[in-house]
Amino acid sequence: MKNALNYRILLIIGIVAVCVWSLFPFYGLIVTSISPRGELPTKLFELPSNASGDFWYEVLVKDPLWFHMRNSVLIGLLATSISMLAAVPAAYSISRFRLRGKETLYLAFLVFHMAPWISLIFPLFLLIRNLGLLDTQFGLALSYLPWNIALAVWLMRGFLDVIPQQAEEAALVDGASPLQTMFRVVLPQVLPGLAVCSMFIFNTNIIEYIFALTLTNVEAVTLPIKLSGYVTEHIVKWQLISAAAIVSMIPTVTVYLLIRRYLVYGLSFGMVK
Amino acid sequence: MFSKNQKYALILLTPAFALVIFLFIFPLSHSFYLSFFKYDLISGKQSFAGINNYIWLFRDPDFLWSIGRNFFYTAFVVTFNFILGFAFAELAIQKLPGRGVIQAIILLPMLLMPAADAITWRMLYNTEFGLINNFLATIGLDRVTWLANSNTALFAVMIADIWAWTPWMFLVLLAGLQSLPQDVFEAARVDGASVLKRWWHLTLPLMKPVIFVAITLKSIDTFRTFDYIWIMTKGGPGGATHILSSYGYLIGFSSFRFGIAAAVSTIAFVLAFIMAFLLIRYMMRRTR
Repeated sequence: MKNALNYRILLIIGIVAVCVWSLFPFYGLIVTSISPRGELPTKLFELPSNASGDFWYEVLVKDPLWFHMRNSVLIGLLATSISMLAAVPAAYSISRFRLRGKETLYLAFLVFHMAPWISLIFPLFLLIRNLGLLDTQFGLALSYLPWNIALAVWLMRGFLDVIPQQAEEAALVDGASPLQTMFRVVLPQVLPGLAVCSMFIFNTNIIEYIFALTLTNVEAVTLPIKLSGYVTEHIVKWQLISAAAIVSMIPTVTVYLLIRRYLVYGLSFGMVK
Repeated sequence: MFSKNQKYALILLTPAFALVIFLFIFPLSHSFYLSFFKYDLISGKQSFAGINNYIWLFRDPDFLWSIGRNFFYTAFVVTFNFILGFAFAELAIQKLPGRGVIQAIILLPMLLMPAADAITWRMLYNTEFGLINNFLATIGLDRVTWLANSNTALFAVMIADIWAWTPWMFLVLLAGLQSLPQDVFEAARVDGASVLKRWWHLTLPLMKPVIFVAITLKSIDTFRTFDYIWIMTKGGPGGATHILSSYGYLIGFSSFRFGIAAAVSTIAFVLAFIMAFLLIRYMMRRTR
């Protein structure tokens, strides 16, 4: 009996602690975003005496935040689709064909994926500049490709390996080319895997910071760069920043809602097994 | 069946390979090449410098500190990610009312993008109205200039990073906990093993593979971090929070000495590669 009571108390303490830890920054964001100009709370549970929607209006209507969000989404879509088009055949090749050194190759993709960004930022800046693609959506999308492809090959192989091979072999015997087999027989079977993998890559691209900071300037500036840019402006409007930070959750929350069921599956596939 | 089609295997690999060579192997080699030159980004002047860039770096105490700090940052953040992530995962698998809600609350920080995390925490640390200082003031303590003080700045940034990435660790460990065979635990419980004993002798050993993978991946990811440092402190105050990426970025894009910056990026790559290699090898040995 005493043990059951202790367990309950422990659970309640745990739940409260978890909620405080996860939620208090959001509490700060919300309270700040509705504070009137020049009046920010200086006590812990002080709420603004006359809440104001001015800054929300500024973020949602006057500020070009939507333009930058659109940039992020377009760049994410572009980089994700090119990467998947290149990576899926590669993953299929590694999964199905007997190729010398393919395991080494597979491991190499893991190494590419783990490379520090700083080790590529300078040469990629020069490359994109020399191609005349600085501050373009395509230029930034290009810089995401190696990381995307590496992750996609790594994840897609995991998905492809567990698909039974009889149907493909039958198709091959019937004289279909491996390319036809891949598109008509194999890919329909891994549609959920394709979707999860694309969503993961898309998400890493829209939240990416260092390449977007370096390779864009005005036209192709993405959401994270716009957000961090607020802080360096001369007069820091914390109300505006807070509202913008909350609005910036729209793309990530959308992705999360779409793949919620597969989140653990996708995270762990090819990683935890 | 597939073995006869070597030609197709290579054709299928070609697009991915071409892109990786063009956008990864080539730039990486270019960076290595540049690290032996004096190269000014503004004037575009390039002259051979031998290993002078490397010598310059290893004579700069800021650089050596940023390497050490990079490892410390990684170890600290990953340790606390792991401890908190494990604790949260243990909590979330208990039979609770509103389990879904608690899981969603734990995941919430992950839905804020890193740049938004960083500015949020900058606000929380603000001296005049930041929530953390408001808390200190309310309980009667002095306000602290968290990010402007060289003793606290690094810890302040690390806490923001820990807060933001604990959900990832939580998810992976929760998946691991959910896949453990329940009958073993039931048997141990019937035999009268205490909660702590079951955790130490069953949960931990069974979770070992998941734990190793989670820690390895998180370490590699944390080692290359940039956004939190850059947005919250830019390496300051007085270089007290520089890690390899912020140090290199400042040299490359603020003083435009691309040769030295390329040397930093080469060293960063080699260190990350060695760390990843050792971790993965250790992981494979321990989990086989």
